[in-house]
Amino acid sequence: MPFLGHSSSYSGSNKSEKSGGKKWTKTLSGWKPVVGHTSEYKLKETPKVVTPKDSEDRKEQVKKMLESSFVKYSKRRQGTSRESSSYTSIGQAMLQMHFVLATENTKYHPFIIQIIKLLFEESIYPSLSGSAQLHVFNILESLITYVIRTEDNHSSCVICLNDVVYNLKQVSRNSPNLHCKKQAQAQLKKIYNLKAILMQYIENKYTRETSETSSHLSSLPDDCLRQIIILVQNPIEIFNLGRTCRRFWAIVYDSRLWRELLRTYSQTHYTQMMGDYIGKNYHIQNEVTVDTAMQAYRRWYNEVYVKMDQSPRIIQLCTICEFLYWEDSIHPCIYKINHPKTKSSIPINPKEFIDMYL
Amino acid sequence: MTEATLTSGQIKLESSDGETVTVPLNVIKLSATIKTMIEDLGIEEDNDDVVPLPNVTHVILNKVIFWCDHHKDDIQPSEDDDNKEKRVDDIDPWDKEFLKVDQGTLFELIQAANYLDIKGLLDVTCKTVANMIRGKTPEEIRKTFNIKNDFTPEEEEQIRKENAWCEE
Repeated sequence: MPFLGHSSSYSGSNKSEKSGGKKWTKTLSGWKPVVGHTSEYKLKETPKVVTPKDSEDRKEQVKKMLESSFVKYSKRRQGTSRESSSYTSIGQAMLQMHFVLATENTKYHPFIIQIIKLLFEESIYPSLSGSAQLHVFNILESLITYVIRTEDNHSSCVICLNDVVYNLKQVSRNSPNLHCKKQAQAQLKKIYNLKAILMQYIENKYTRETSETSSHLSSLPDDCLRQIIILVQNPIEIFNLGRTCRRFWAIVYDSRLWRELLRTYSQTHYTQMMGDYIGKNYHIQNEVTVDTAMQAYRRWYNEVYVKMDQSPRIIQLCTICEFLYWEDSIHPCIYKINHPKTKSSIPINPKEFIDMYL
Repeated sequence: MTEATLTSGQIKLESSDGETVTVPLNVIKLSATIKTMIEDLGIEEDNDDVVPLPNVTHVILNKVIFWCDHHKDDIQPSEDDDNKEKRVDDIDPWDKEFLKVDQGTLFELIQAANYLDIKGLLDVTCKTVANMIRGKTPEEIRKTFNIKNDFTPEEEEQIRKENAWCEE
């Protein structure tokens, strides 16, 4: 599996040089190691790290990031003048990390989906270059093709597409530039097409063979429905279910449900903040109205749960050679080969990944 | 009942459509309902007594037994594990394959798991349905589950207005 090195001495296209111990070759199904080259590259000299003259801003940002998140790492780096990146754009980084190929591994999906989400949510996307935007679309397309083929992760994919649609709409509405507007609209159209394909597939998958006599969602007892709704978790999605018919509305618009939601998730994700939100013990007071309980849950969900760091950390950053690589791929570091037992990599979450290139 | 009976014995279950199925006790012990029933009724090992299950058809019962057989050696979550983090996207690949069924079967499995009180099966089936609900608009949910909209347009408008936050 390819990876991304920070030093410009690695920016060549010869993957074998980067893989430290294995030669890689590009096949139809992705990058595969070539057997028989295991020792050839071990003796290569530790590459000299070039110090690119990056902007002071970026330096500050990296420093800040390292100080806050990776105390150990920042200590190690203090006093060195190394700079971490010669790739300045996120688009290039995604290309070098072969995000399109990474969509072939279900394990990487949450990471990729979150990166795409962040790109749109934080309005980074409109500022990307044309080819980078195209690349994001290629990633999305490849992701959806894979999801349809394997029936995995389709719901998070739909949520991601919904986010993209929402944010692109904002862009096309707010952009003062006519050209940007048109571009956003064209991209929106593309996304609608992708979503239509995905929805069509999901619909076919679930509505096949549903005969008149068989059970429906509505034939489940209230208890089961409540249990399902609790697993849906997101208050907006719970409401969407409630808005489909009267019976579901009656279940959703009920303080018992929201108290149960608070009870379930407040136990699993208890934080000080949560304590402040439900300080009045909403979940045990029976006389609490549905609106109060709902508000308490929504507030907790939006302000605490969503912001809690549940991000997948599937990309690793080597502290020695400053390489980024996918978790399951071979770590290319020479240091690592000589010191196999030392732990030298730190996991990077999607936000940090993007921040590195801002 | 002794632990030995639970690991070696068998029990006969009768489905709602009159079929009798013989199941090893160590498989069906995943059903809290049947476990309690055996303990309370004191059904002996290899007895001719048949436990009637009026809510479960034999097709579904066989599927449930198949599921229990695969999971019989799993470590049983204790009661305190209610606190365990609930995630909707961590369905075991075997279960995912097992649940590739039509909606009717899926909902009947939920009902059976609920009646037989098989926590693991109920959990994974509910997760599957929750995943089908996520990321959809009300109209898309109606389409997926064949739900008839019985709101009047005025009611719909009122719900929408009063809960404008969900349009965010």
